[in-house]
Amino acid sequence: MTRTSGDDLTCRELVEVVTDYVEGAMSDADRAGFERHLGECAGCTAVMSQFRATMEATGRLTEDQVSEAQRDAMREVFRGWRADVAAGDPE
Amino acid sequence: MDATVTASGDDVELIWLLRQGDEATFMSLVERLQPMMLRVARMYVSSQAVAEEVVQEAWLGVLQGIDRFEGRSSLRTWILRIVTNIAKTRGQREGRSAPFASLAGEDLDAPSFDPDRFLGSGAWAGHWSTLPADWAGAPEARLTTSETLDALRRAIDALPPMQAQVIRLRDVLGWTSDEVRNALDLTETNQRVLLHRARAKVRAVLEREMEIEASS
Repeated sequence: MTRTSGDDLTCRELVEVVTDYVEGAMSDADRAGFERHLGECAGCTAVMSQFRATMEATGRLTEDQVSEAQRDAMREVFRGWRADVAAGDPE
Repeated sequence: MDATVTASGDDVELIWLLRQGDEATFMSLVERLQPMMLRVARMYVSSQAVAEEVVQEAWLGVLQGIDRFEGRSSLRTWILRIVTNIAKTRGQREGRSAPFASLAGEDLDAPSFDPDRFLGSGAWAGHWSTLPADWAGAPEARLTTSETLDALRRAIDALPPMQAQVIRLRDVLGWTSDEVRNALDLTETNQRVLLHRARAKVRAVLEREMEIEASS
């Protein structure tokens, strides 16, 4: 996914390396080419705003709740373990 | 790259409380991690029931191993990695092969945008034929209506499992890339490719939602 030079990065190529860029996984030369392209391209700048908004909206989602049955089962695991420890059973 | 994540101050306290046998601490970890643990386990084993057994075994492993945990990763990473290891072993024992490609999805090289959106030829080949909309000025309310969030949730549920786990851990739960690749036993590159694919697909869903709302 990494190019040897960012100089001739097209828009079509840029959108595939957005995550390499935001994750800090680019060489200095590629990062400079990426940023140079963004500086001159309203379309790709818009795409960056779309990825940012996507990450932010995804961050609004919440994790599922634990079911009551699962909660009870895990409490049993815990109490069983503690009883074993108290009884001096080898782990 | 990211500095290696080690146990935080909060973790140190949780670890200490677990070692004391504190049930409330254990149950708070169950609340936080159980849904993700079940999803990770389910990738490797044949049924939800087996995934539940794997997670139960993992918690027992956490309790029995907590005295030896050295805090070289965050606590949550260590716990999820235990699930990953047990689930993989269990899946192998079940004779269930879960090749990376089937978990990761066969579409890792698919384009993030429809190729029609770029000029096909001429001096500007590969550049936008029509500019994508800038969302920087989009009212936040439009991006986070309950309809939009439902669509995002469905989009993530529909992803190949490893793409779904990576985007949930990174963008829903806020884990770092190091934590995620350690927890799921991925290379740095794979973690990044999976994340890109997942975000690109969720972005496309969000784009459709934005268009629907703009036209209604």
